Amino acid sequence: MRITQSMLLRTALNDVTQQRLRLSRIQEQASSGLAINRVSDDPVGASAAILLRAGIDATSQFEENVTQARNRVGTIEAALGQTMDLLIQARESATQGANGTESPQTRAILALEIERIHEEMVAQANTRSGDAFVFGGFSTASPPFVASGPFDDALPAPTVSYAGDTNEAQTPIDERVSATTTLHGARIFLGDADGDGSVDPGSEDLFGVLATLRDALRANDQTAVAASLTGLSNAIDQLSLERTKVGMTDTKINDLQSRLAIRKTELQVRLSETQDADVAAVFSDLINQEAALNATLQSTTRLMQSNLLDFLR
Amino acid sequence: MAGLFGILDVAGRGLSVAQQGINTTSNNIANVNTPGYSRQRQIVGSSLPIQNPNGNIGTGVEQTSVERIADAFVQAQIVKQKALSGSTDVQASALATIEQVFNEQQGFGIGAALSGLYESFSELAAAPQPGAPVQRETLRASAQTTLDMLHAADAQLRAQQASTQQAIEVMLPEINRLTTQIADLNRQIQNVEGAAPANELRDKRDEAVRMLAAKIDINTFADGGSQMVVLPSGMPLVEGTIANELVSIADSSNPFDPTFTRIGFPNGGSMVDVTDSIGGGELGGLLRVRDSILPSAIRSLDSIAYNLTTSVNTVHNAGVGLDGTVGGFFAALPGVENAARDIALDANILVSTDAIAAGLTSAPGDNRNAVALAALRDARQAIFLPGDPPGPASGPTRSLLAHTASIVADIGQQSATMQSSRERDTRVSEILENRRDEISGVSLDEEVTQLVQLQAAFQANARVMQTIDRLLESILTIL
Repeated sequence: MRITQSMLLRTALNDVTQQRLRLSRIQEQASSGLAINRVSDDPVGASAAILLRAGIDATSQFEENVTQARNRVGTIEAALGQTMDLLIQARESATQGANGTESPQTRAILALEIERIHEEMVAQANTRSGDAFVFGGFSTASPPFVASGPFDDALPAPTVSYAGDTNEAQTPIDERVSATTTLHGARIFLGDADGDGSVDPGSEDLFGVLATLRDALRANDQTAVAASLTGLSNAIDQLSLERTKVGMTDTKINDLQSRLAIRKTELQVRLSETQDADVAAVFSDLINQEAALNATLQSTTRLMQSNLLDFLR
Repeated sequence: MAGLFGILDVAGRGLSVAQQGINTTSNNIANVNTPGYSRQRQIVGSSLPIQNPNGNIGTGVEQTSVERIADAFVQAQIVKQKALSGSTDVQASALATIEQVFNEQQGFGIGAALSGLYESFSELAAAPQPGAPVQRETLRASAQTTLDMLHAADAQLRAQQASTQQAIEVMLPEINRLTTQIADLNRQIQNVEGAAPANELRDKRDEAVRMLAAKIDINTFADGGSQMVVLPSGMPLVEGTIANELVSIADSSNPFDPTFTRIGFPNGGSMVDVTDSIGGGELGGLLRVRDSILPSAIRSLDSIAYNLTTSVNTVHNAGVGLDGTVGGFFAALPGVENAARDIALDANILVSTDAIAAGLTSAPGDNRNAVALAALRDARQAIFLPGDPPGPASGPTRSLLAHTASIVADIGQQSATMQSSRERDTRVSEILENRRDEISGVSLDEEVTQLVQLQAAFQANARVMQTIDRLLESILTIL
């Protein structure tokens, strides 16, 4: 076989080009920290990375939604807790008013107390999280509970009507998991779950109970005051049930928050395994490849310099 | 009996042959790096002796020819390989550019934009404010980002298609120049070769054929002293001393750009469209890039855009905007074709974000439709492919993100395959070029050895002359 100058040159040039290419790929990995720098480096990995990144994005969004839902549910829990306190205060006042030894003046004072409780409860029923009313169903922009007027000496007490709707908003907090973030206020405060405008059988209108109590106290009607205690107890039971439901939602959200964090970490680890360069391996490759290139360059220059003319004198 | 002057003649001829040999050798050395040069070899023979009954008297040496050392078989293999390499090289470069459009490794791209859009739907569903004015703006902005991403990717691919078209148009005059050159060389070789082999002209012609083969796949065969060049479809590009030029013909029905052209071959009075028969060479590669690789990439984008529009609109149409509007989120598209270019937000959404149907009613707290829109992220749907509408979707059932990821994988796979083809073709080319050099290349060591040998021959012949000169001198002194 004849070996000619151009063959040496061509082979050397191709080898050096190939090695430079490999070196530049390794350098690219070292500088980007990624094993996949273009889709063709690993088509399957690059495509899996897209879905993993989308999964991480989705999980981050669910985490943000969880934060929003937590705020909402926290507000709802606090409002219902306050309402419960008010009902208990009202029951204490009713118990006191039902006592035959109390004077009419005391009952008048207790009536004022119930008026305060009533007003505060309307405020609680119109609680907002951010700017959104949480007890109005989907009608979050305007106060869902409207009193027919202020308290005055007249009887009967003003009534409270519901301006919201019967819906409850569900905030998505995971795939196919959601948290209830606005409530059907009429069910909770007016005992009207079916939304027909009147109290359902077996339920209590919280404002109505207070109004009856206040009117009874103001009228100094001891029997009626005693009778209202049953309604108050029922109202407290009704509210406890709603509080339990909200508490369950809160627990669900808390559990989910840690689950989302774990899932996100898992996805990030998998993304890193899919696309990140093994830094130690990259640097050892870099050194090996550099050595190989140097060896090629050295042997090439030595080979190309020598020919027969060196030895003819 | 040979006279002294006869011997002087023999020595003179020996000197001259040695000198011609040195000339051939120095010509080889001078062309050691000339591309396409084939080494030449001096062919010598003893000249005819003078017949003599007492023994023939030798008349020395003569150069009968200067031969060119070349192998037609290797040349034919190189011609085939050049066409392959030219095509894979062009396609691999094009795919390397295309895959950048689909590269999401830096964390942004079509998949990330889609994911961001679904995130915005989810954010709207979880909005803390009644009516969610901020989330509506965010959603419209992130939808716009997705559209920008699709538009930009589409524009990039179409620009690449247009520049491929330009490259095709530039390629034709180059091919025509080479075929004209080959035809000219055929004529010159015919003219010269009556007397002596036209070594340099044949080298030039082989080189021109190799250059032509890199641009377009051709079949070649020798016809007498001429090189015939024909297209794979049988159309002759070079017939003896006649070159037939390729011409561009308008392709007004091209679905991407009516200014694109096809390749025509004037056959007698009629024009034959040979575009589809050109599979190899740079021209074949460019045609494949323009007519097959880029269209499939553009249609992939179109399928993402169309399926996004239909899936989002189907859900969005079921809802009601804050202002009571019922309608689409994106402007309706007539079909998959050009969807990536034409996709746009619905006119109502552009006017006011209140037209975004977050709920099934216009109540400010109603987020049911936003929840349904956010659920599209993982919703599996039959994918509409180009040509489907108005018919049903014929693609696989998968989520749009999975569809996008599979498109990316497909483009990456094409690019990876083409890159390894290119590497293989580079290797094969190297082996063939080396094979050619092994036969035809100039080896300095060999030429220097030859030079030493010829130098000795020259010196020996000179010594013979000197001896004859002495002999003549001694005879002259006798006189």
